[in-house]
Amino acid sequence: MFLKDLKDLPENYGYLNARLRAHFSDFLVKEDYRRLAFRRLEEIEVFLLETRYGKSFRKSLVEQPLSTRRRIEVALADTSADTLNHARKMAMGEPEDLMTVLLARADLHNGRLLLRYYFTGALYEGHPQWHGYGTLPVTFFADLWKSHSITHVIDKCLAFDHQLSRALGRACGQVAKGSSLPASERIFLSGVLTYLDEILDSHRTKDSALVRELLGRSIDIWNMNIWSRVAAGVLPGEKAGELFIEGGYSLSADRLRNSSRPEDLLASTPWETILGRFQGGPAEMVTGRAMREFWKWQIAQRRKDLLGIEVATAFIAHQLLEWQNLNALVVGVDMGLEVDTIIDKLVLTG
Amino acid sequence: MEKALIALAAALAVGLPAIATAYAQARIGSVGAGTIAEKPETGGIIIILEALPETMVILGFVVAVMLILQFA
Repeated sequence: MFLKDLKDLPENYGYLNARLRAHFSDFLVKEDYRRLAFRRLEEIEVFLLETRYGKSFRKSLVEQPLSTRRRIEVALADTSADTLNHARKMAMGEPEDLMTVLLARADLHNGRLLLRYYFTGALYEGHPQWHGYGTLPVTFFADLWKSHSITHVIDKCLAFDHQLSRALGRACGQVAKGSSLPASERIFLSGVLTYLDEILDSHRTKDSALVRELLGRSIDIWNMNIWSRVAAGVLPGEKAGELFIEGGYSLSADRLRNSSRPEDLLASTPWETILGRFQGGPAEMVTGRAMREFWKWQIAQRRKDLLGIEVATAFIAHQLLEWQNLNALVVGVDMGLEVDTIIDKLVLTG
Repeated sequence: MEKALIALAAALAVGLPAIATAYAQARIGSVGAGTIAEKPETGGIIIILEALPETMVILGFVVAVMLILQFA
């Protein structure tokens, strides 16, 4: 009973946030990216060897012969997953539950990879870089990947007996029936959101409200993605209605159905700021711009409340964004792109 | 009756700052534990920060003693 009471103490945030804040200085800054963009792949590896990614580099050097680029990718994925899993282990009570919700994007990412793999006929021979910080274990996804049959995947998902795996099983069922990829992904996303809502329902605090807002903004981005496909003529307008997800943060179903231009869709919403950068650009750019704004919003939470979930939200975003930026940088350098082009692809904050 | 009121005043003078101190120390303590876990070299500063709210109780205690000595 005493331990149960401890789980609800606000001090849990104080402890967790103090530990997380001590790690913010580990993240790379704008100048680091600019400097790395001028270097060769081997030089980037040497730079990363001296950082917290070094441990994973040494491990992969010893264990398996990989190309420099692949070694960097593995090191980034392993270190990011380790960092985020370690952060969750430091949390207790409400912060732990809310971090589970925040980190469920790994399950979403892995599940969508799997859906795309089976939607395209399971032709790819290699294996993807799983995001290893979610609720479902990476071994579960790796096993599904190796199944090579959508029927086996559905059986395994149902046998795993977790709400998220059942949602994935239902989505795979749609793929097997010949539904479109967005329709199957929508089923999976809805299942994940239902699961996360149940976790959030047990906490009625301002911190859980922030996490709800984050989920709402994620739904907005999904809806913007569907909307931009309709605007670009890739998706028929009549099908889009059933692909939108209810419960977004600021974009209502009516607005999504009745808007034909980005200005109509985003005016007077928190996403309005991205309109200034459009300057008449194509509607497909909406999602990319919105995603950038979403990253920046998450990272801006860092100093909003030092005794709330805001610090963890910013920490997770920082780690994932660093992973994404370094991946983009490594691919750009490997392809021999211009420095300015590479920098343009990165989401630099702070 | 008068003595009872003085005793009550003295109790409040110590009790209320003690509650406030406990509240502050709980928060400083949890944050301090997290900080020391990541940066052990900050231990000295954290102990000072943890002890600072104690001054509230000490001042309350002094006031309580003065009340009792003055009026009791």
